[in-house]
Amino acid sequence: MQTQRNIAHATETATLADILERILDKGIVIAGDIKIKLVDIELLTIQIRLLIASVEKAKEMGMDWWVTNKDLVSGRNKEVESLKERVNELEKAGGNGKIMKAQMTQKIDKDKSVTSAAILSKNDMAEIESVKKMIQELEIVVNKKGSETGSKTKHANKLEKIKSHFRDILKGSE
Amino acid sequence: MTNIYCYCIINNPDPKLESFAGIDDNYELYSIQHKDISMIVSNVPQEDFSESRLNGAFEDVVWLSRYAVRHEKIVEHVMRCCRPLLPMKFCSIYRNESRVKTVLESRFLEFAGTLSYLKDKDEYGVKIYVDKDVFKKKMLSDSNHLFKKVEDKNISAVNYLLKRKLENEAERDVITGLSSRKKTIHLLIAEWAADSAHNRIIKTENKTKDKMLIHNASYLVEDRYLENFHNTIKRINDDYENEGFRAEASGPWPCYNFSAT
Repeated sequence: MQTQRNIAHATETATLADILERILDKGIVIAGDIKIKLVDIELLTIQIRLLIASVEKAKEMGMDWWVTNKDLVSGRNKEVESLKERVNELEKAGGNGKIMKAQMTQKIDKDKSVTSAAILSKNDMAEIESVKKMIQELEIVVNKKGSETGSKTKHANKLEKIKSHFRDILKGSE
Repeated sequence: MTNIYCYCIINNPDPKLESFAGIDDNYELYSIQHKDISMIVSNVPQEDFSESRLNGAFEDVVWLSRYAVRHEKIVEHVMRCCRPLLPMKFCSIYRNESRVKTVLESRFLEFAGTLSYLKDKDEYGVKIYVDKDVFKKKMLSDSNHLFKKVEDKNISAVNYLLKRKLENEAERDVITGLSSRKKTIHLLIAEWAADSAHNRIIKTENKTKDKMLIHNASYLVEDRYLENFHNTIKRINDDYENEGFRAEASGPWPCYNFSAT
């Protein structure tokens, strides 16, 4: 029985809304020394869903073209393979790729609030570093691929798109 | 300067915690004792977790999501070595160690009592979804509802209103039928639980028509009944699938629903 109990923990099977409801609404409540105002969980989950939906929309629009582009992702090109891996790692990092991507999008959509800028953790810094690196690597790959296939402009345009996509994040961190 | 962030209360005065980062990367978990219970805590920078900063941050969905998941993961980490535990509400923060001790002291009996009640038990979440169209079809085909009799026939203009009336009636019957099924399913699960509590029906989860959330509850399940509990969920999925129902279990959760006295 003990083993069965340990198979999966809640965060692996639950949605963010489940977690928020429980930790904000339930559990032991003792007046702490820091007073925090109440949050409307219903509203919150709607906001979260909108955010995630907008990220998915961006994905549909091809903002993550380097993950799926067959032209670039071929077995022969080790450089691209490792890049693909890096993107996946980036998505997985922190345990919730969607949130992380959502975070990127939000940072672009809105003016960065002072709050989240100040609470940039070690993970954030590592994330930004790897995004920076990713862009450099993309540049190399795109230039190379572009001259090979003769469709340099097409790829360069996409690269510009991604670069502007990440530029604001990088700005915010510096 | 740092404050103290509280995660949960356990009934172990000297827990052997593996080194694990708290909600702020730079500070690890430790415990503050009173008699034979302890509060699992970590330090947090005063400026990052101040009143004004947090109230601003709570409006930042991204910040909130990230720290909520982190908070939950920390409690689940503690759960691996110390159970039962009483989870604290998100962002329960104290100025210093003696303030935390005062809390443990003043509510010691209550905490110790709840901890002993929760021994060998865990909280599991169960969500029941229904495909309303499948359920309606099945229900109407099983019954002798008048609506069925007129549904496929060519209806003259005169009888149009009558048809509409029957349609409305059928819709009402479906709702009644759903709520009675929901009760039946809940009772099947509750048979294996020491206690149960309802969670919010999260409207935003109803993203598709064929997956409507109609029941969202937590069950307090004793270890010895855990297998029965899981089997019941499986059986519900087998037995009620043809009516459009689907049950999903999550957990073990920290006992959020059963910790408050």
